[in-house]
Amino acid sequence: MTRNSITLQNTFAEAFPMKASRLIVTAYSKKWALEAANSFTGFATSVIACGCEAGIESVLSPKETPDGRPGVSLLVFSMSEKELAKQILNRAGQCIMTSPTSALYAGNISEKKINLGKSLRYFGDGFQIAKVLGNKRLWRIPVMDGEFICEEFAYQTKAIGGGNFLILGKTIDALLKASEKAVSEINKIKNVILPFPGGIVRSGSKVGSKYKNLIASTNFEYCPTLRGIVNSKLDHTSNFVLEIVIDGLTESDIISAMRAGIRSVINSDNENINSISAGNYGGKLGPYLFWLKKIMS
Amino acid sequence: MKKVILKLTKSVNHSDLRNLSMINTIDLNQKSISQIKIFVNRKESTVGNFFSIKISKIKSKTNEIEIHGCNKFFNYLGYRWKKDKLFINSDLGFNIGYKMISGEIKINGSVDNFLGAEMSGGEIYVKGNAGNFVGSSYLGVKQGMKGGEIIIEGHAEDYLGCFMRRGLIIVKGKVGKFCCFKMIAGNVILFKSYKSFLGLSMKRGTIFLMNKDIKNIGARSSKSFDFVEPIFFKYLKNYLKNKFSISLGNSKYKRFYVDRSINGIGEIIVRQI
Repeated sequence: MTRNSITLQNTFAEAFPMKASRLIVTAYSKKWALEAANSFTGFATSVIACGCEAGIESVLSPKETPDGRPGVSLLVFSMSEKELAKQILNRAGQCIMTSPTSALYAGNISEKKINLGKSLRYFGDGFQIAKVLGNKRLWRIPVMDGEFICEEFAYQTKAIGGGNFLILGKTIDALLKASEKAVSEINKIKNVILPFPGGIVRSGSKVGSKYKNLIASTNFEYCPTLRGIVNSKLDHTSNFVLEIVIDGLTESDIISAMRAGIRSVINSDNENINSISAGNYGGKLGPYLFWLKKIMS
Repeated sequence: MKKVILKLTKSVNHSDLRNLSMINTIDLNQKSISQIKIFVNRKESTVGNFFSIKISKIKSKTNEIEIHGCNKFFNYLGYRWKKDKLFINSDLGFNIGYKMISGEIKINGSVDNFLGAEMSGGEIYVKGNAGNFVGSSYLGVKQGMKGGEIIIEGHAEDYLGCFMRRGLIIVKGKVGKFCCFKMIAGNVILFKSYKSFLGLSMKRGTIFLMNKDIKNIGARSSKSFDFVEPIFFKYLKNYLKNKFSISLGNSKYKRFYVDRSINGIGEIIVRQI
């Protein structure tokens, strides 16, 4: 399938089940809400070595937050319940509680709880105060700028990680431009995040390695510099490849995000973009297969 | 869901209606409702003997029970109320919403003592006044209200929030003596004046005074200090605005701890108009 001189390859993205949670961070101003959120989501690009994948889902207006202040909605993804709980608690304690004027609330609700204020309250050294309003229990932990307000629990939900597509092109300039546009389109969609820096990843990986202790290594089929020595999937004009990885709460969220991103690349009508492909492992990694042609049909 | 309208057909000068809360758990049909046993005029009877019953279908997510013709001799209404909405269009007696668990009770009148005593959840709204021991513990019990919300549009008498453990009480009118006596935790918002001994022996919890007057605080308090930009207060304001359309307005606040004579760290937050 070719549209606007860009070929949509007949392949699929392969995704896998994850656990996720949504958190709402608020602060005195949008700037400080973003500072706290960026700190929380730092070093959370891939579960391969970060423990979780996290990103900013959306910026919230004061009307959308529980305390009427500017806020940010975060999504955190991990492979196991235990790791998700550990990552959220550590990051909340070290990145949100430490950030000036911040407060932290759960952004979703489910039966599976993750300790938040329930554990962080001990920082209050006995001066912490619990408040129950409606069906929410909040902890008021005294800190040097007043109080850190933190909901007792965050909640875990089912999610999908690893939705992706690859953009193959002739020049890095054209590729970055198209990728950035795709990222900005995907960022408008709720329930998804792009965990990598700027939403784009250049070191796409495959499962396993020739080295025993490594669980992932470079996806050599898409490395342009290896074209002469491995069974490459790149033609002679595809000199650069960038990948956009999407984590979402449901299959339909990932499909919407992939569709928006791919459509944006196609509509860029850039002659230096050759084709769009997707990363998969022959169906061995995960149960979710996102066929590019089906998504764009 | 269903709407049940009960209309009183005989005069009542004493009643214990705690069994009426069975309406939460039974099938809502004429037969089962009319067979609920109640204690009226000091005799055991059934709902069918004293009320006419009308049942209709509604689009609401919860069942609605409406009772007409009540008076101040109607006691224990809403006892251990679990779900559904209960509307009453008149005054009621004592122990209304006693040990209430969840759901909603709206009273378009006044109530006697022990409103919402030892309740653990749900909402009670009173359009008129309330008697003594609102949200308190029953005599000899160590913990009062353990959750839920009580909103009183009128005045409340003595011992409001006595031994209160959790929850929220809002009184838009005046309050009597010993308000929040031995309060353990929770939130109380008082819009108008209160009589003596406010917060006496209070361990924890929060009293918001929308009236600047602090003369009648009976508890030994810490030195007051400015309370600037309290985030919890912003949350509470947002919560009250969204849920009850109650506006606390923008203002500065003073805060102090009570009752320091028992090392309590309850807080009184006073609006500085």
